[in-house]
Amino acid sequence: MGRKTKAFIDKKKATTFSLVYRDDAEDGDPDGGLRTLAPAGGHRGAAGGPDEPADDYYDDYYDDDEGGPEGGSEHGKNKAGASSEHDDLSYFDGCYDDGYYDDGEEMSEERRRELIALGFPDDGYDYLRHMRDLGRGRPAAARGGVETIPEEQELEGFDEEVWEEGEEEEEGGDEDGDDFTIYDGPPEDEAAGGAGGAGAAESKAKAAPKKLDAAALAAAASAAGPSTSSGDRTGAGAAGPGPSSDRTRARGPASAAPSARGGGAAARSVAGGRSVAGAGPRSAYARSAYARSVASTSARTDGSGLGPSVYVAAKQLVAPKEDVKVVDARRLTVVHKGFDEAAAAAALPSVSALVRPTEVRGRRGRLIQDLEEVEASLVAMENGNDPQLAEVVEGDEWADWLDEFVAGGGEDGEQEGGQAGAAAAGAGKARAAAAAGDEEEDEEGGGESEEPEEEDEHEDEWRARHRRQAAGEAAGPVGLVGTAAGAEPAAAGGEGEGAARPERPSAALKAAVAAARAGTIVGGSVVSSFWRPERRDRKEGFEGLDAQFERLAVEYDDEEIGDLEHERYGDDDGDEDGDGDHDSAADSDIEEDAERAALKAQRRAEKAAARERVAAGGGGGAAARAAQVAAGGCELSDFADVLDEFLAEHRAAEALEAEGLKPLQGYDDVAIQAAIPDAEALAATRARLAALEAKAAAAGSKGDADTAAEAMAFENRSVVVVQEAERWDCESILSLTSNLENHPAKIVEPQRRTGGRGGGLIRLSAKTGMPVPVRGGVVGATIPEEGEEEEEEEQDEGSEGEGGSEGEGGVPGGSVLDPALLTRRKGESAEERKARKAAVKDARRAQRSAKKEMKTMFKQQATKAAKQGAGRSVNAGSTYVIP
Amino acid sequence: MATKQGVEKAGVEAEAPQVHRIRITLTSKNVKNLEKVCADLIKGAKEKQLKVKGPVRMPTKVLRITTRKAPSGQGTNTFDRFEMRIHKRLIDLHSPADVVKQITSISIEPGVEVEVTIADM
Repeated sequence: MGRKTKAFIDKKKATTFSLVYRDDAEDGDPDGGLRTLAPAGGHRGAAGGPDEPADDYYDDYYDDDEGGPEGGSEHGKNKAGASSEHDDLSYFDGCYDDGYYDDGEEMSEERRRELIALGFPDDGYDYLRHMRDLGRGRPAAARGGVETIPEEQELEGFDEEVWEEGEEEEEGGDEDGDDFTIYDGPPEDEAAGGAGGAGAAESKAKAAPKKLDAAALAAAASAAGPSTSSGDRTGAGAAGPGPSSDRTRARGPASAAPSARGGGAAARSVAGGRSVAGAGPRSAYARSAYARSVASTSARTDGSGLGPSVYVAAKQLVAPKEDVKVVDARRLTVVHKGFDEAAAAAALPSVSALVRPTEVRGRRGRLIQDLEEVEASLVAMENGNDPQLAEVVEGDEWADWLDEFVAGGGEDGEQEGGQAGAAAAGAGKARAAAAAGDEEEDEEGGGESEEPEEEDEHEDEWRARHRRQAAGEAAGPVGLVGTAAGAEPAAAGGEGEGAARPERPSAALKAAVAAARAGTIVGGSVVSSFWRPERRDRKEGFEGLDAQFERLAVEYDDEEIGDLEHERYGDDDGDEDGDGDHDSAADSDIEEDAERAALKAQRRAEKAAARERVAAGGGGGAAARAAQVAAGGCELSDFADVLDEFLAEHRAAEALEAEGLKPLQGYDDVAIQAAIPDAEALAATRARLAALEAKAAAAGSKGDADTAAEAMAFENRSVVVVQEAERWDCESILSLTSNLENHPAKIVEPQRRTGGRGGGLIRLSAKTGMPVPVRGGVVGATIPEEGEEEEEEEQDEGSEGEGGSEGEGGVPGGSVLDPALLTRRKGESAEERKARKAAVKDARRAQRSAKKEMKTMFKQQATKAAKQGAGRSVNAGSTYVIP
Repeated sequence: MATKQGVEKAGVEAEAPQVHRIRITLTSKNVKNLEKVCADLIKGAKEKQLKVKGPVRMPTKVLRITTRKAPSGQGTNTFDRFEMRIHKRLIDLHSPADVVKQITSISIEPGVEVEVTIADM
């Protein structure tokens, strides 16, 4: 066959590479990336195989088939060499496959041995044609691929090259003192043991142990003496030729005796660096012998990952090296207790999500300042920060800007705040970003007032105990701030240390103030748990809001939360009507509503009185109790009024009825009732609000932040109503599921039909061997396989159509589904039609008879099995006995 | 075959302009990846002003296995049809060997097998 054009590449004269992942063993340059071009091993049988078919005009399409039934099923694994050789643009020539090699007769003996060793069946096919080297692997393997060398052949230079390299590679691995590997047999095992890492070798060794025994013995005997491998290695080169002579029986002992060192050296060198000092006898397992027997695997079982690997059971079970590290305790240092506590204390503010103010009362004066600042920031935010005033600071310049800001300062408050902020940033790790919010800190410092107070407390605690270091570290921010008045902020706590201590007592207040400014968001605020200080995208004005929020949140948890207006539980009525701002309308009891509606007039007066009481001074007791009530705790005395109220309500209802009015019942729509604008209630509420506002203003001006805060808090309070939980008891409810969907049934033990003794609970159908569903469906209805039922239906429906496609595959011709029978040819004559129909009829008849036969046979088998099973005991279980 | 490495070295050490005939064979089960790699290779080659031919698309080989679905002989005779498609592309270049090595050091999609054949000079 000729080609149309000259081939682009003459594969016989070409080098083929395969792009493979880089193998770690080779020291290629990593610049090449993950992959490298490795010489494709060529045909595995290249050394000896008769595989080279005539080239170039082989059809590429066919060449990969290699006779595969499905058209090239081995393509993917084809040998690099083979495929490249026949990879040809002239594939369109309809060339035939000449067959690579005729048969097994041409397969060389060594190839055959190799195949067997690798586990391939010995059927004369060269499976190795489909195997190829994956990676470059070790130099030995890369050298022209794998060569099979018959055992008898002596390789002059083979040992030293291979095994010297092997030694060098493995020297490192052995230095840790293992003087044997699991591949070495136990010392006493001489002959067949000591698999030199070549499982295939082992098999071969077993095949022909005799030859090796002597060598092994000789080597073992000879190697008994010298033990140091290092010395041996040097002699290895010299003894290179020596080991090759090991193999022959005659020379083995000869070499052993005179040069115990040489022989041992040789054997050991061959054994490779796998064995180290002291392993003389073990190492001497003539690994050389094994080395060259199926070389295909021997070069690779050291883990380069090439070729098939064979499982070799270890001769010795070796426990893995213990993963212990010996540490000299004397070299360890014990950290002083103070360190940890200081660090812990310093980190405390950043850890807690919510920090409770402990001395809220003591710092009222400062609180007012902060409050004003908060309000200022709010105003600023509402009015919009003037963008022109804002400086845009890039991320990199942040540090510089900060320095400038700190140095330049602004107003006093800002300056202090800024410096404090900077100090805090310097001192605290997470506070670096807090400084980012410096310009806002002075404004929002108020919100943080509580946190630093706690910080102070903590600082006090441990400072009392640990003078120096603790004081220095944690007082860093505080002390620094204390010196902020004019001094440069010191970055580290250590520096502030000196300044801190002397100033400590006097700076208590200032420190608190400044620390309040420094008020890092980091320092455990409610907001900060989400808005980390590193987040600088928080808009400016929001800082103020954050502050306020935190403050309020903190206050809500406070024991002394703003006094609730009412002393009594159900006293909120008027407010809800007027305000309508909360859930109280929804939450409150229906009872309350009724009460409220009925007793508005009365209540208002009472409420006013109560309010006055509260507003007048909000006695701590009342406030405390109100807080308690808000929290849900109740006392019996709370309900002392309930009876009175009820009675009053009853009387009022009667009075109203007498007047002809019906008291508001609970089922009236509460929302509607609440929505009806009640002039009186509105007026009252307005009056109340006005009063509160006036009070707040007055309080603000007076500086009495206490009441102001309470008033503000009051404004924003929410009524807490205790929900009556649904209470169930075992009598009142049996189940939450309705019987509409829930049909519980009693679990019954399946009745045994035949005397109850045979077969156990699960019965297998004799026909299929699957469990038969027991009456009641306990065993379960036959679970339809997912597609099978539909498929069966489809099959039945479309049998004609599908039978055509599948008929040939699965149905023998002549059955009913034979397409030849079922398809009707166009232009059919009468006789043909008759013949076809008769054929179909015959097919059906045949199928029927076959079916009947099958069925009867099944039945017979089933009865036979049943008879067999009759004698079975229950304990034997129910297995389907195949006769 | 013994001179494989020698050939490689010769190709590298010889004067750079010595141009070899190089054939790159790409095979894969996945067409998309294969086409992508093909395109990348050709693009890379064109960037280096090499003479490129290809990609030549060889006929796809379909490996079919048809088996009965049922593990036993019982039931209607339903069959599973499995198939695996192998796509193959060829790219021919005229370039010095080292350039080819660069080209093939591009990231290759998984599943695509690359073989490079360099004609000995």
